[in-house]
Amino acid sequence: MTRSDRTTRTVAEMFRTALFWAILGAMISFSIAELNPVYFVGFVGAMLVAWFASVRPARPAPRKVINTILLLVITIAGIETLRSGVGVSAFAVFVALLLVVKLLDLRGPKDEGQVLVLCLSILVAAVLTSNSFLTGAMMLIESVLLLRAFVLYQMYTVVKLGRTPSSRVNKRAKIDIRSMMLGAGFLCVCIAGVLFIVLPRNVGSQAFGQWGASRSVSGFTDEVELGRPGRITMSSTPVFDMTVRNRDGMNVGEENGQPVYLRGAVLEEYESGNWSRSNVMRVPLAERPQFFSANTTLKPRDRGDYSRWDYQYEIALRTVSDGPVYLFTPWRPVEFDTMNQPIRLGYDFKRGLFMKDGVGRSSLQYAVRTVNDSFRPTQLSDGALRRPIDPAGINERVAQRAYDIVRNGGVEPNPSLRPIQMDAAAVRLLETHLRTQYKYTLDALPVPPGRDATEWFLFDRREGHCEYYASALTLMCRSIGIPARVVTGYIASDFNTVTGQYIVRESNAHAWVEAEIAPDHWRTYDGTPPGDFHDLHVPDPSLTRSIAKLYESIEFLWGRVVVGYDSDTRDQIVGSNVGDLGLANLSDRLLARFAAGRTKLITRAAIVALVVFSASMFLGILLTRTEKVSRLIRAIVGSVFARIGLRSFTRAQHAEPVDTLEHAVESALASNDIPRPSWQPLRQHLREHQEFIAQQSDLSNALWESADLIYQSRFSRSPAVPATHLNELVQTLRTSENIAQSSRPATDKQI
Amino acid sequence: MSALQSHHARLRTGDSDHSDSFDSERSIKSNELPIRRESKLTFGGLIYIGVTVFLAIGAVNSQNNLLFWLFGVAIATIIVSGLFSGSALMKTQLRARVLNEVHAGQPQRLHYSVRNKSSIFPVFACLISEESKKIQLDGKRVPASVVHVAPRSSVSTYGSFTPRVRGRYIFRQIRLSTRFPFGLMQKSLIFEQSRPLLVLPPAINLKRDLLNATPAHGEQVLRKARRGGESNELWGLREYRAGDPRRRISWKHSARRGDLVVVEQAESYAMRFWIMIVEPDTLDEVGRVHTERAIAVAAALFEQAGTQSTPIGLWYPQRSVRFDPLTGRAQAGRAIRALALLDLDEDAVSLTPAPVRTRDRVILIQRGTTLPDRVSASRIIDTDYPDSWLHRSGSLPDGLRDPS
Repeated sequence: MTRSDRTTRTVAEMFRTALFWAILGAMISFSIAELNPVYFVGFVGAMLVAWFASVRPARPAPRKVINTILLLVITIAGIETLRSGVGVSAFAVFVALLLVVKLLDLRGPKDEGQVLVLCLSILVAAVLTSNSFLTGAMMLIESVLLLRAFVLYQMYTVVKLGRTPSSRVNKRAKIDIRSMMLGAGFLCVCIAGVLFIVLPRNVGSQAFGQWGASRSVSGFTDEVELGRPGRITMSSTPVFDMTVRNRDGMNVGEENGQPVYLRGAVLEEYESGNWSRSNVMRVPLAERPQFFSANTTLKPRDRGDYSRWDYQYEIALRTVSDGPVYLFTPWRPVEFDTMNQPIRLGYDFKRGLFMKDGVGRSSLQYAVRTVNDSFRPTQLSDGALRRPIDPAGINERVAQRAYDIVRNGGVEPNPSLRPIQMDAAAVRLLETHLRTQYKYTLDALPVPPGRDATEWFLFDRREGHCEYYASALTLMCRSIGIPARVVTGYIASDFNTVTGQYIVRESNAHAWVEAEIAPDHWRTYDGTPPGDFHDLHVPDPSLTRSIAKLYESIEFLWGRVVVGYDSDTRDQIVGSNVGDLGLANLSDRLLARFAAGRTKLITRAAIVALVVFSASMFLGILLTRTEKVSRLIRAIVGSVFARIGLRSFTRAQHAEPVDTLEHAVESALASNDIPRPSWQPLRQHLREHQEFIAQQSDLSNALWESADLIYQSRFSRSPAVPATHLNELVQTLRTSENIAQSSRPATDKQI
Repeated sequence: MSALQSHHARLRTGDSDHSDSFDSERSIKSNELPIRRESKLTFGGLIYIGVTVFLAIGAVNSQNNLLFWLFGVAIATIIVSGLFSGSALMKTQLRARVLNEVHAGQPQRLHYSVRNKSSIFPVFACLISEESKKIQLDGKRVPASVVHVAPRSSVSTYGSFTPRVRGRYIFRQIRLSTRFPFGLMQKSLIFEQSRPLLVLPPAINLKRDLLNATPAHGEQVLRKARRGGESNELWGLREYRAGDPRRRISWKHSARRGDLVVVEQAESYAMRFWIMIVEPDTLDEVGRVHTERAIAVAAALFEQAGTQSTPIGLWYPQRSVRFDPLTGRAQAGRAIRALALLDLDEDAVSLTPAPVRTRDRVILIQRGTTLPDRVSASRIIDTDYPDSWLHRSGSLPDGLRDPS
């Protein structure tokens, strides 16, 4: 090998390297988008095994093995589809598995092209699955890798078609390729960037239904089911970002400040360990959902004492799914601002409930202004009365425990004897008891049959997660006559000093209690032990955490600039004069018609019919007009027939049996003392010895048939006979040869 | 080494890969510029557009900005693809070398030189292929490939063409195409450069003793042969007849006898061969194959004889082909080329015996062993029994195999 050979690489080598990185990038992108380490280990491992076992040594697996694995893959994909439904995730798993199988079956440029297309499909699926910063970064990296692989694939194909696989790429060619790729990449980024900015948003959203996995990443639930076994998720997937400002517009968020309780659902009905919304809440809100344009401020009709707000919470939900979605707000909200996005909203200021309705979107921002009850003295009139409570459904042991705790704390447990001003102290006693006497755990065990979940928690288990504490505190409050309710939502405690925002994750989902300590005065109480609570919800200031925060800052910027890019931002950049070319109106009209009823069904059916018809026509034209395709199909059918033994398909495969047959014929003739001279054609020789050969009918038939087959194989275009028949003839000839030898005199044998 | 083999060897020494031979004398120096340009969407491009539409629908439907970004990249890729491949081919020239003779079934290298006159854009990943329909049908083509042509430089490359049947081929149009950079569009330049190629009958490996072991016709033939001939041996004297050349007049004996006497010389003893081809009465598919076999055998015999000093001639009465026996490679070359150009679609004429002399040996090539009327032969090569004339290690090329 010359020095030049060592420094230059063949086109095939360069392409294979680029292909390897493109596949690896696709697998990593998919794993990151799914946030699933099992996928990462499984797919990347399988890909590496397939690459080094099959692709690198250019040793494709046998067809039978590939077909078996393919069957397995289809089965796995089917199971995955049944498990998680027909969606992008199941599709991506299927494609990734298909890609691994394809790696075992790389036999030519077409296969390699298919692998590249599969990589592209995986990338699209990854983007559909997640729009996190890491996914976006991997998308950019994978785009470059794919670009390079596609460029080298063109050169590789040309080299393969020209049968010059050893073509090398010299130094100048390498420089030119790099320059071209840089130029192409730069142009692509520029054009794509311009298109990204200019393309109108909010046009045709959800016209074709929900694609991909549900866009909601909320970890909270509006139903509490105590006693369900399992483990509470600690996923760090961000749900929303929040900025807290005072009336002067100053950011008042603190890194180690008090956590903020962000309310989602209010649960008032308790039955057998399950908390759900009350009937009143189920027909939910004071105001029916209606459409509000951007920058609209909503206020309650009767603001009472809360005319002056204290804090403004600006919340940016990262993703919002279709249909009703809880908008998280602190207690007590007195104003709601839609900020720069129009929104379809239902709300109830009295209960502090806000629900978005309508289609989902990649981000949603709103602002809530609140008053802080703890800063205001509770004004109680002399004749203030508690709301009556129905104690039915509260376990007697739970009620007795509440009585004991309150009485031991020096407060009258009987509500008829206790002044309403002491209700706050009573609740505080119960809260303190739970915080100090019970342990926090994320492991949820099943409740023994026939036991009330809260009673079991209080008296036997004595450890549980926040829902148990909230349930116990609420029931104990109610048992001593204090109205209380379970609230589910999030805790905001993770403040990022770089972005000036709180970041709220799925793991911050929480349940707590609101007790009415005076008429229409609901206070927040939390029975969860504060030490454990701190460990779970307030992050430690370690180096890892600092790095994580840095990443979150980048993630925040990514979300703001790229993921959160919307029509308003577009108008700011492009100018509102450019407009959306009337597409928004057109889209709205079309969507309204779709939503009208039958038209929707008919239209979708028409689209499906059109797609099926076009695909059929396309395939039909391909099959009837493209000679190449029909040849390919014939070859495939022939190959299949040959494999199942219906037909032989290549002459080359039978070349060896024919040689064997020829040799057997020569031996048979020689052993019968009529050896064929080399100059004499076989048929002519047989004709000359016709009389002798005819004496042995088996031999005669075998010889003539063998002669025909040998002539056919060597001088005819007709397909060769099956190898099995050739073998039969060889056996017949050898048998006759043995008979001839055994019938000779012994002396002849010795000679 | 036969006449044709030596000729081909001479040509092969001129092969050189990837050397700058654009200005070589053997190049065709006209029509370097394309006569037309073509551009079409590839199947991959069609699929890609489908994916792009899918991305657009997905982006609009989900309002996912990453999908908007991917859609932008997809559109940008289509634009850049058209821009780059088109620009690279704007100033590309191509020259093709003249072609040599080749046997049917053997590959003929097709040499090209590509010049990139652009000072900015390099040319990448081009395929060069011949456009003639006859070539597509009657042979196997391997296109030439060019991985890279730097700006203001040129590159030589070659493809190959393996003709299936003998005859004259005219290579007229050359297509230089590229799908670079992403395989979405195929841009082509069509060049018009006419190059003829004579495809000789397929080369077959005959038994070496077919000519030498041909038996003579016996003593009677020998005696008959002792008549006036062209050799230097004196046979006798006779009276002068009108038309006798003056140089054959024996002036000494004429003076002695007083009348003009000419010297009659004996016929040459040198052995002469006639290859006679008789084609079947009906030229159906089988008949054609057997005729092609006969032609190939005749050509191979001429190749053999070209290396020996045996005079050999060709008599193909039904196609009016006659080459009187002569020695030498030139004679072999002429006969083989004549055989290569035979058109079996033309009407055959009636069969006539070979114009043999008394000691000539006739090798008759036909299907079957029955001698036609008025034809005598020293040896019959039966096209039905290839193993009687093929070398043991040889087999028939595809074009000569029995269609049944």
